[in-house]
Amino acid sequence: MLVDIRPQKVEPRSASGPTELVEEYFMDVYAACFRILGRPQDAEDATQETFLALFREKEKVAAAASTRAWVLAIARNTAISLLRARRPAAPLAEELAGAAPIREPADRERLHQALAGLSEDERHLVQMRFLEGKSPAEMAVASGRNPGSVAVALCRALQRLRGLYHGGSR
Amino acid sequence: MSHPDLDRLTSWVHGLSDEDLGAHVEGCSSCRETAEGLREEARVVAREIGSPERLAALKAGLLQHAGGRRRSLRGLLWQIPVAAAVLIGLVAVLLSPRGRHRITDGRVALEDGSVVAAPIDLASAKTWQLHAVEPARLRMSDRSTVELAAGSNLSISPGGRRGVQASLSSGRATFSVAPDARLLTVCSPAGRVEAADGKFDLKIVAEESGGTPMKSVLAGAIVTVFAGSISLSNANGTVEARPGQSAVLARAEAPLFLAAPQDKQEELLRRLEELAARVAKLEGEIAQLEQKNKQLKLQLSSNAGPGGAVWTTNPGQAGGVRVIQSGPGGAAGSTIIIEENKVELKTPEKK
Repeated sequence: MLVDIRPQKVEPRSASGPTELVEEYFMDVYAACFRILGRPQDAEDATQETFLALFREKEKVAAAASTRAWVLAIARNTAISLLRARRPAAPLAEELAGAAPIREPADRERLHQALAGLSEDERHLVQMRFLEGKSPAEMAVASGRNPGSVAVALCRALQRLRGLYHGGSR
Repeated sequence: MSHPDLDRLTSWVHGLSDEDLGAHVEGCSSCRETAEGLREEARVVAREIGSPERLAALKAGLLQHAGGRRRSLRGLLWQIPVAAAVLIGLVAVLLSPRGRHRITDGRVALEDGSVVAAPIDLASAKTWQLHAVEPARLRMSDRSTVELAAGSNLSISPGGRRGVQASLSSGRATFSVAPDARLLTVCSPAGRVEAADGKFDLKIVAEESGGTPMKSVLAGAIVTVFAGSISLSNANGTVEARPGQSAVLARAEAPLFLAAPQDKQEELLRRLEELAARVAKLEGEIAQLEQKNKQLKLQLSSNAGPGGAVWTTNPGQAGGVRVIQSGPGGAAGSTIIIEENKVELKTPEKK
């Protein structure tokens, strides 16, 4: 009888225990929630809700084909639920062009409102650059654009952020 | 060289373009100042998007919760990063403005009648009586959040195992309890709710009593659990409620579970099925009786039988009655059928 002793391809073990889930996916979950919600405090709430849901459904997480995809799907659903439940804040009037950079001391609440006022795509760029610390080349790969287009889009996103921050409430 | 605009400077500061503005910026005080402002902006945005202290505290709390759920037998190597994270979290707690509650959304009236709008911080060392002028959201010093319905009255005060406790005297509030080994206590006039994490809705129910003006009398409180395990108690008993369950807290009785909507639906479906079966059975019986009646009428019309008879009033006219008797009057087994003469009336034609 022949026995196949060739080395088998081994799938990397995915984290499924509560502690491993937090260790491995904490920042991914927070980033996914922030991208949808915009306000850091809301993103923290959604992150917490996401992990509590994952702790409750640990059997499903363990059985998932891709733990990462499962975790991010739960994060996204949780953030969307929170977004729907949240009372929309009064929109900020936008200063259209030439707004100065945001300097210290910054009005935190106003900055959070301005971040929430960006589109999801704009927030994704800001998040990749300032939260995940990605290089322009990495941002280009992650967003599926060319580096020049990413540069222009990030500049525009920052311009909008400044405009919303300095623009004043309607 | 002319001054680069803000976009070009932004690209240069963030390394997004190959353009070399270094020499110009070095020699131009205005552009140097702007470039410095852009770097400062990058620090401010990075700090606000992902404050290391806040995220470390959150992660530490989650790790603590995760560890509490599963006592792992791993060695010290596993515990060191967790302990470090917890320590960082504790330091962050001490350094951050966690000794405060924060109204993050909406407007509330304070005890002195003044109305404050979000965002505003409230010191956690004193007791606050809050009346929601409109739907409002509050983050308590333990990171638990409360969504207050308009018109609700909530009191938050130092105390309890978490250093903060809440009391809802009227209206409705949804509590999202920040995970912690210590229980958060939320009081209501009819009993109290305790949770280490999870989410629940608390509604104070009042009923109108007679008299002019109508007086509102406390009927109880309804607690609906969305997540986590919640303990409900009053002087008459304690129950543990799980997600999807609702319970009533009343002063005179132990906490009582309400039937879950799913149970109600199943009960309704069962009763509908029973009714449908009964209707089908009755329809069958009616069909049989009609058939039997038809046969009898045919039989009697053609032959009333010995001693039987057929009487007809107003023959050929509407409103008449036909009586058919199958045997001698009063005899056992004889059948009598009384039926209405249905004669179609014709409307006279107009000339």
